[in-house]
Amino acid sequence: MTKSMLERYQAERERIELGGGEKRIEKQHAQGKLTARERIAYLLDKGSFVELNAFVKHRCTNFGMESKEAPGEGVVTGYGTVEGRLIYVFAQDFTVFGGSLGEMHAKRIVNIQELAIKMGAPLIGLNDSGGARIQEGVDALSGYGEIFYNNTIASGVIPQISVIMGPCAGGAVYSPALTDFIFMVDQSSKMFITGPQVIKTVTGETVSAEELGGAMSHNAKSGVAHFIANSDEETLDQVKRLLSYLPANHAEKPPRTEGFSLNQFHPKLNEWIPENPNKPYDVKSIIETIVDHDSFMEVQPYFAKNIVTGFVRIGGMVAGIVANQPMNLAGTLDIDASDKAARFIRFCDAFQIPLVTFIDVPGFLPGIQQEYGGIIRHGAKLLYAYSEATVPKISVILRKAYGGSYVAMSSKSLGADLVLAWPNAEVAVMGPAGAANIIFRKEIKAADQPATVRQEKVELYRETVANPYVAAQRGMVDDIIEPQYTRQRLISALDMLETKREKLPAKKHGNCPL
Amino acid sequence: MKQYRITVNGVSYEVEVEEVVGGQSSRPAEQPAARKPAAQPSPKRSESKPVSERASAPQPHGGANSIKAPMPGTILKVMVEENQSVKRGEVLCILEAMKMENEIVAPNDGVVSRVYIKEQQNVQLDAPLLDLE
Repeated sequence: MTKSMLERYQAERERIELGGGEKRIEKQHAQGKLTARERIAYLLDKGSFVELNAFVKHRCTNFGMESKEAPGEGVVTGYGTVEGRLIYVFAQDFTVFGGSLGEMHAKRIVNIQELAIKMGAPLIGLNDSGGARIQEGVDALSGYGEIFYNNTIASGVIPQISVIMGPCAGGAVYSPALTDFIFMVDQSSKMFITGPQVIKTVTGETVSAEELGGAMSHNAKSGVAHFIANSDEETLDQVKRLLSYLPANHAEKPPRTEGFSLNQFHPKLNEWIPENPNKPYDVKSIIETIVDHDSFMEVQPYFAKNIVTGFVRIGGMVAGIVANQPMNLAGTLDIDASDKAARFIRFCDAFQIPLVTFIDVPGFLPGIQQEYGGIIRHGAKLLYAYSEATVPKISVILRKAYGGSYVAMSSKSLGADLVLAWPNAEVAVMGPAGAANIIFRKEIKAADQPATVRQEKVELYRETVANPYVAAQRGMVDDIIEPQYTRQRLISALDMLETKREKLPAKKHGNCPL
Repeated sequence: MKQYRITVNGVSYEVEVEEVVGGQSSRPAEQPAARKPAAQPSPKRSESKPVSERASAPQPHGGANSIKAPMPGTILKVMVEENQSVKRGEVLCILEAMKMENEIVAPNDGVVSRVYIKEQQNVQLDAPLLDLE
């Protein structure tokens, strides 16, 4: 090899690694954003990133494109490690043609998607792109299609994580939407199918880009995104944290770490639930008390707050938590809560993450909006997801478990492996007040003092039916436990269920009500 | 009964751990220092920086400052009056719905500029309860 060959190689690589050049890099920094390469460097273990296909070049000759250079084609792709574990990553480079996606840009992404699937390692996409490179026409469109196809094929094979760190508009949104989790950086990220201008022209509605497709809109209103953070760095820290709970692929178990104390009791849990069943409490503090210290990573904390979902470690074992939240909408199940929980359950089931469900549910949310919105169709997803899941399923009934909503929340009849109940649990077809009104209607009506008789009958109903003992007699509750020992019992149950093997009958795939 | 080997300051101890059920013992059985088992290299703790989410989490961007009923129900109690200043998270009123005394809390600091409701009043979904300024 001559010296000139080596020099040419070095110059070529330097040119590519500079992306859109100093000026555009400065502009990116001025907006508080890192560049594509800085993001990768921050996310991956130091020195572990290996770039692939850096030398690709577009073939477009339309509109003077033949003379235009797009170093790296507006995306950086490759592999490396996070906390020592293999991952594949692509980061769109906004400094090169606004990160726009053309044929070769897409080809780079498709290449690492295929590698990630073959090798069984997570794929992380850092999105920051103005959209399709319009000069390339249908070649760009076809590129999107191939990425969507691979996202779908990879679904359930490897965890796919999307991070929105700039614009992601139009058709481009469907790649993140097909992946398992979406992170968004507050203020700098935007996602929408049609932007504010188009909406204004077509429907006359006025809305700012932030309000329409900003990070908080998608975290709190649409439920499109799962996580939000204040800066590029903070967002990537969250991605790393999420990865620590996940296996590399569907055939692996989630990483088990050295657990915290097995023999931690929580006497305060015995008094935690208010005596008055109509008083709310924060179920998140129960979760945080029971699981390993600081291990609760909530998923979608701002969306459908009446149900809580998230990853935890209990005695070092990873589990997915689903819990009714009495503090919000009385902990009822509604359309959004059903969607949120069902999708989370299906993710956990796909990646061998056991499910722990905390139940305190008074029913489905009544209302015309809910019925017209299809609560029947959406609620069915929750039943489907729980029934279909073959991972270990443990349920803990904290208080109310009424009617259809009780059945939906990982009941024994939907295939839960172990159902535990606290002594104050009320497992019944409906609440005492409503039930007494129906069962004893005539007696209450005929009484001299209907209010007193009604109260007596409510108490009678609570004594005879609204407790955990009837369900335990029928075997629908496997054990009644003292709240303070919940942590021990969960660790023991997760340990016991670790070797669970359950196969669904052969089929092409089920037909989940969507 | 589980057996652990614990190394403390380079000295290895064999420890048997028994689960006590129904006992009175409620003190945390182990302190963090005694947690590492011997012989195995401890797998990398990947929770490198648990971002203190509570402290730094972005807050929902408040839109209009009108507080609406999240579901239909009965107003059990109104805790604030007009012109009263409130802190974020303070309970403004209690809405009984689905047999639950739902606390309606202030989404941000402010002054109650208007109260639309009385105790024992029935409200529909999205009915205005209070205005915050």
